[in-house]
Amino acid sequence: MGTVLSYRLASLEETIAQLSREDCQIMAGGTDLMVQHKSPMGAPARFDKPVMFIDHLKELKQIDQVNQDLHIGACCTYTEILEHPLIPNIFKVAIKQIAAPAIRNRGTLGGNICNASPAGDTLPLLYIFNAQIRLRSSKGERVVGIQDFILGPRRVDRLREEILTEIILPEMLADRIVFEKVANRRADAIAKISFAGSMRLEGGRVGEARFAFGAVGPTIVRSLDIEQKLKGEAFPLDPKVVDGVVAYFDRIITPIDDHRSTAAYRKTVALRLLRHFLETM
Amino acid sequence: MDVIGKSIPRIEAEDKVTGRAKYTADFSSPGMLHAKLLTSPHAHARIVKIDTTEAKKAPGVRAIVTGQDIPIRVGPHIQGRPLLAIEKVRHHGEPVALVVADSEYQAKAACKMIKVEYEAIPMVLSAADALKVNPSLVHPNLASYSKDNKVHPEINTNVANRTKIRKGSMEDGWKQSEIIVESSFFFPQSDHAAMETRCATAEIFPNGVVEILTASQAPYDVKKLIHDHFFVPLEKVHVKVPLVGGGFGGKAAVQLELLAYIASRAVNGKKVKLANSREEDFMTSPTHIGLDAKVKMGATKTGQIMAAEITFYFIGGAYSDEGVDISKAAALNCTGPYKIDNVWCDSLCLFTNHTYATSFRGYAHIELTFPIERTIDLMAQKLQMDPIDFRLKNVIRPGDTTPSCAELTQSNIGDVFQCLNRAKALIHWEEGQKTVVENERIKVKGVSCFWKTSTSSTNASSGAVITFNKDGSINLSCGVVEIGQGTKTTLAQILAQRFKMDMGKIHVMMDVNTEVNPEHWKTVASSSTYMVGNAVLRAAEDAIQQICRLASSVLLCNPEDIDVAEGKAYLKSNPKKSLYLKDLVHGYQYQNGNAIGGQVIGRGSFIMRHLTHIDPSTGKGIPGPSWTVGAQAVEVIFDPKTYTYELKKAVSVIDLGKVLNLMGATGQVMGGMSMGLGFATREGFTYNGEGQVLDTQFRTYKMMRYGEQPEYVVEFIETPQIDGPYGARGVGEHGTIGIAPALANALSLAVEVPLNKLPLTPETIWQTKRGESNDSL
Repeated sequence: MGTVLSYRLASLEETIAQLSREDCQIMAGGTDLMVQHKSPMGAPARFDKPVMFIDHLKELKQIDQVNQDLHIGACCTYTEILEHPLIPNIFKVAIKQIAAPAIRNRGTLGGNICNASPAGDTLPLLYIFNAQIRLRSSKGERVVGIQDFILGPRRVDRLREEILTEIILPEMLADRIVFEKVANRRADAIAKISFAGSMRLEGGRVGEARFAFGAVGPTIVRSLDIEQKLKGEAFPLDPKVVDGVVAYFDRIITPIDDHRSTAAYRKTVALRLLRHFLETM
Repeated sequence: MDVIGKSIPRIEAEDKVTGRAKYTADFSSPGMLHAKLLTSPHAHARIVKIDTTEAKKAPGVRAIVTGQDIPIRVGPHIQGRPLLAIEKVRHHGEPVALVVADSEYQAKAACKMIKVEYEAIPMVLSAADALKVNPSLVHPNLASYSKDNKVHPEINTNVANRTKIRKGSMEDGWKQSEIIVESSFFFPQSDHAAMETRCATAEIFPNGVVEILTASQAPYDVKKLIHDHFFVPLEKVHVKVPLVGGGFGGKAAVQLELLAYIASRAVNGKKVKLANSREEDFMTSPTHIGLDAKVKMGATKTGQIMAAEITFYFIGGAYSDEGVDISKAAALNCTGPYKIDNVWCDSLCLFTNHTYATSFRGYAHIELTFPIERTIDLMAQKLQMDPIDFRLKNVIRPGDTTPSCAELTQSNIGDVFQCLNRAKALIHWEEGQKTVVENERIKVKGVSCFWKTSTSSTNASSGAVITFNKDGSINLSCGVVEIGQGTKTTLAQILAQRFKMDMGKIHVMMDVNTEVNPEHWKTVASSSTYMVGNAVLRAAEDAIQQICRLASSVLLCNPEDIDVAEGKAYLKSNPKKSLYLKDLVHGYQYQNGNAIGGQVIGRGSFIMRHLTHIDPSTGKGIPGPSWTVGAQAVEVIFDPKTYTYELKKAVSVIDLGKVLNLMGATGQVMGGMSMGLGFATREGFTYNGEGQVLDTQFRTYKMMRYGEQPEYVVEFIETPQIDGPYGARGVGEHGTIGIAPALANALSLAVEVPLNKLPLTPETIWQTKRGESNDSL
């Protein structure tokens, strides 16, 4: 009992080839999967599919700048991202709040995306950066926007023979970027609410504003409509404009009660974070 | 040569920091089997059927035991808890069956193959549920349980115990009160969360000897219970306890030891290990009691407290264990360290369908101190008095009496007044209790006083034996468990001081083995240094007398002419005339070969004196040998925009009689404060509608982390307890007691709403604020 068929292949090409032949559970750092598949004490974790380890694949651990875009390998650990000079500082702010060093040494950016937790700590920032996801399979490759890739809690638009290889982060010009995480403790705690916001000003007016909320709905909440409407508004924003944006999100945010927090608290805090972001610069 | 009062590192520190120290679960032997428990997913349900057929066939399985195989009920005060559920389950996590197998995971896998059919029974998930008219009964057969005569369960209700305090005249008290404050308070159930999860192994030898290895604070209780319930002769029960990785009261309860014994008995006496996972440690083994409280207090306009009416509803969980005694301790000390002449208190321990509760560091005092100290602040506010001035006016002093009418002396109560004054200075009260700092944040300070006595068995006793090595060094044997509190180092200091000897020459046996160590009641109630310390001093005295007698016949003088120091026995009038202890302690040999004397073996014992049972109608009686008192203060910076706060500083000033080990005592108090901040700020179980505990891992049950600690300031006042060793009082639990109310007092001032419910998370503060002011933000 307790045997798990697993692969740890030498290259990405071999991994992709095997994935085309067999449906596997892909495992990078395993920091979420090992908890989800926890087994009786002393026994290995249980998986109903063979496990494909990818954490060692060098092809998935690069961080490069190509033109104005940053390409981050899916298997870069949080620690590697934290230590890399090309990574925008705001990502480091967010990553520093993820779990504890041991988890950050194992957990990967690709894993955080594919786990698709509504509370995933890197997700709100990836959304406002308009991150792109590159997927490869034996049949070829495709690139999708993160907002289209994540479908719901633990559900992503990945075919079974596909593997997420890299995250493409377009350059974002902003005068201000924030990331806020509210949890029961400053580290090693899952978010009750998270928020990312960015704003670029052009001659006293809003050039571009983006914001995204985590842990207040099945997926990250972002509205391109409202962002579009803010464009060209005089800054500091008129209180009526702020009220309008807040009221809009009040309608579309639908948090839940769970053992980490309550829906009422989540909504209140989310809206206050938004208001605070809009009112201060 | 003075070692008393010095900072002496723990004897076992190096073993611990290098990872060499061994704990119960670290011991394994070839052929050892493993047991696992199948636990209940329901909070309250009848067991219709248990089918073990499939599980018995599972690989590696040696035996399966269910409740009907062991028709006994256990419990320290009321014997109502089956080792494995019989007929029904009463809490989520309750053991239903036990599987013994070759390996732990085989045992666990087989557990999953046992089929249990349950039928739900209405649940009791709060004090209100427990007390309603015609409640669902957690123990319908309460009347049939055997119990001791110190508890008073109420048949056909969920009341496991009720302790009454009737002191003075409430009528007079209210008549003299010009202002009255009344409020309710809540303290949730939480866990000890010791770093070491509980573990026990058992083996039954062919000669009938039962050997138990366990992480326990009460090895002599384990011995007694194996004898009482399984009729094993006492001398054949050998209980061994290695170093214990944190107890906090949770390991004073006996649970896994009896299950491990059952498991071993089921496999013909083979050695079986039963180790808790963290989840089981949280929901299967006993936990920290919860409390609902109502306090009404009256005072004169000048700020003299005249009356207190206090009702405690302890949420004791499914079985009474120590909960019934905790509720009694709460009643006996219900006012905190304040002089109140008219007191009415009813303290109830309630049966509920939660994990059952046992002792927790502070034993009722942390729970009672929260409502009392919050009420004291509410009174001061109503009187528009400074909360410290109001306290100073009412603190208890020698000559006053406790709620149970025990008389207080300088020796048994110490000096709360001075503690509070020092705490006031250390927290810089003169800066103001509330100031606005940068970014519109609010800096607030809060205080609390506390007291605590031991609520010991009235005949609790201890013993100590000292023997000598041939180089003159000393071995100390006693029954105290080293649970991280450092008592054994302190005992070595006590011995070193008496022999005026280097600490390095004192060897303390770290493990406890009931077969060889003289019995110590149990390692609880901050009383080991007091009890065993006294026994050690007597053992030293006994050995020194023997040494002086022997030396006197060699040095040709009277025993009184001789004293002992620095490894020698010497003539007081001429210290140059001396003999090495090494030449005396195993008998003295003359040059011609003749020998006299023999091995020196020092014996000492101690028993509690003058403690009494408690009168069931008035609560009169003496619960402990002394009260350790103190004052605590915290400073926090509160952010009114986010309801978050930063812990800046926590202060404790405690009258511990005499500091024996400065570093040890300071460390105990700091650790206590940190633990107090843990349950004040975030710890506490959440239950879902089915009565299941939701926070059973550290992933969800959040504790204080290193980086969140405030600056800790610890100071001691020394008013000697005249019957304590060198004047010392206990200090193991006390740092924990007043921290939560001090924090709640500070934050209530910042939020401008009374915060009477723990834990104080930003979210609960926000909810309280919203509820009180209807502020929709």
